[in-house]
Amino acid sequence: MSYFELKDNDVFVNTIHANPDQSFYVHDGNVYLNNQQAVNGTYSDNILGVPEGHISLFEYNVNREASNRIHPFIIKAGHKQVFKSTSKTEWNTQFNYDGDIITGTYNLSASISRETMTEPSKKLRALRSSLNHYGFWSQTFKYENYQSDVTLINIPSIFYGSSIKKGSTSLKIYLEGSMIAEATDSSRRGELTHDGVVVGNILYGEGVILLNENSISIGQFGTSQDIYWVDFFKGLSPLDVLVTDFDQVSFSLDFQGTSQLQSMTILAKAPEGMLNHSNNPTYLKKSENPFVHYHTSSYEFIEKRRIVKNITHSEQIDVEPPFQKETYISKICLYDEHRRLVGVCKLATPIRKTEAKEYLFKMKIDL
Amino acid sequence: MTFKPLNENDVVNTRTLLHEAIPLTGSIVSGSYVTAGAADNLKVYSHGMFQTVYDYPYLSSSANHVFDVTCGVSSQSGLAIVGTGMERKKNNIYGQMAQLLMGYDVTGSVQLFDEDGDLLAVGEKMKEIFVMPFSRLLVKDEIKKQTFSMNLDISEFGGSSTDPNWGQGFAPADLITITDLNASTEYRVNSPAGDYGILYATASAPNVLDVNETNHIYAVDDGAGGTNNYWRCGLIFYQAGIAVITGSVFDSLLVGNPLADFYDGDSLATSLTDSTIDTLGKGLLHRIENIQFNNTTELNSTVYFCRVNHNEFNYSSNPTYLEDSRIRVKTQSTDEPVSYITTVGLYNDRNELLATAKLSESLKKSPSTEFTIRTRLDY
Repeated sequence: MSYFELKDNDVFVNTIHANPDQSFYVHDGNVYLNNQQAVNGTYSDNILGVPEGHISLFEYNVNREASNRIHPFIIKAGHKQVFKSTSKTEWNTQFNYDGDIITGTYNLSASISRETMTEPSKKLRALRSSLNHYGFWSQTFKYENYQSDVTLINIPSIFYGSSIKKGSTSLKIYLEGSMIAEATDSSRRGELTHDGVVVGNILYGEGVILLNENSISIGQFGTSQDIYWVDFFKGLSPLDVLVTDFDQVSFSLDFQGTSQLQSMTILAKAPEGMLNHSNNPTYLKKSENPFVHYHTSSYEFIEKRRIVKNITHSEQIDVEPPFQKETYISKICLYDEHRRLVGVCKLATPIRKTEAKEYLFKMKIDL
Repeated sequence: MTFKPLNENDVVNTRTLLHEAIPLTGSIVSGSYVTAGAADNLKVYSHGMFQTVYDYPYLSSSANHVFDVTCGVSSQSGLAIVGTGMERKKNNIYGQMAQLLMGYDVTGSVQLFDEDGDLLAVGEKMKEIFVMPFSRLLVKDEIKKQTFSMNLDISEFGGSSTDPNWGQGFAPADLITITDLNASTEYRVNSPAGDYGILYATASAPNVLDVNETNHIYAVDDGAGGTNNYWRCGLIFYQAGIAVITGSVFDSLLVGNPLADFYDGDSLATSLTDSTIDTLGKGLLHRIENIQFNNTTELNSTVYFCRVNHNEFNYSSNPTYLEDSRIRVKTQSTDEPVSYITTVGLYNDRNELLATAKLSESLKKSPSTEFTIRTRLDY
């Protein structure tokens, strides 16, 4: 086994930018994620055990009754680790000293939410700094623009990763199945525009859409009732009051997320004239007398000479080819600076290494 | 922005163990998803060397891999296996699993599965085994010791192999419970695959397991002057997440004769010699009433105690700290300087920013206050 030091040019890290599509469709208060209908289960309307239109974290507990679900727990200890759903008061009062079991629950889920407000709510006030910060993109972001009749749509980060991809957002409103309006961020600076009018803004990093356009009617349903952009996703919140015939209206939101996946590539070179000897016992021919490998006396210890096995390839079977030093490389081990083994890369089939050949092995590991 | 070096007393590594309770009822394993007599959650392969159990029909993207099931027979078993390629496959499965889990002896031979884990003593070896490698999704870092439990039906089959619901009406008298008794302290470390524990079987009803099988019995004081008997019946490998069950639980460990009808009219010995691995696996799967274990995930954290002394961090280099070239927060020269700490940045020894920790609300800092900001980095 030989050691080689990896140089700067032998190791590099690649980043893959992935932009997965996400789609939400809302009709009559029901949410559909990525145009999928929930599959009915034995114990609930959705085998995933979460409401329709929600994503299930881990997707554990498929079609299981509530009493028989996988659930997490930790043992109460001095580090005061606790599930987020357990309050400080509960931690102090509902469990004994160290050793008590604190249980959590699956299935954890997430989906979009909608909030309407006539004056800035706590959530909107918390976004004040961000809104003003994005003011350098467009003055429409200014907090002062969102003081009344605002619809806030919150997208959990599990759907988009590090940020929503700029220019990928599309809000559509349908009336009786036909699209009547679409707002997009085609300017890529967070402005959602419909027919050249800015109807709201999207905060890419925060996953928040703000809509405040309530003056231009974009269609009528039922008995001449107007639809405005602030009505987008109406019915999603339990506080939304749906008037008669509002089921003629439906909404969709499409966007792309951004996730960055790093992978490390390591190049390991097997130079010519090297790696042609092995310490593997099978590299040597078996000795004449396998039980006597050495000679020892009061004054000396002499190991018997062993012969390297000739495994040189030959077309003829009756003539032994001239000896060449050959090995078969079966795996590459990666060590840290203290020569501690940190990784092993196995080849699907061992590669024959002769003195004249050289190889470059390319190893990849996802970080 | 001010830099302050962290010393060894400011950094501590911690480890938190997060567990999950994993219940697997028999209805998940078999009987719930059946179409035309075939289990939709049981994937069989043309190679016939193992089967995969899912918690939902495996053609659905929602299905999770739960465990595989296979059967191995040692070449030292003495059973005359027949069938196309089955002898080699059963021997190979045993050899592969034993190689992986038990390793080699000094002569380079693969060690057999040992009933009590004492490889040096001439103990009982398990030569016919069922192997259940659990999915990494469920095992996570490892199975928590002394939490494994499995209820197994050891009654006569007496049914039809085409009846997929057979085995769902478990009577308590027909059940044995297999646990890793006392494994939190009595586990073994002489495996190349990590720690492992001994599996013991008990029956809730008397005269089910044979008390004359003294070589296999581990007697535990019951605290009332008597003993409770536990029959050694397998091994559980915690980090590998693999349970190995001896075939003896359907044979020599039972009172009286071995099961005459392990599956489809055949005893276990006959099934081992004549049947495929898939058939043997089905015989086991339909007998599972319940499996339960807890898993463990190690969460490593480094805590950086960022200590802010009274005379530090009272000024800011933020442009908004100044107004008309004067410190905004001071109206008179005698006023205390005040700053608001919003972010802690962690730098390496080359002053490259590695991470930032944001405070949920700013901390007011003046010469009359001191703080220790506890910054935790999980990985």
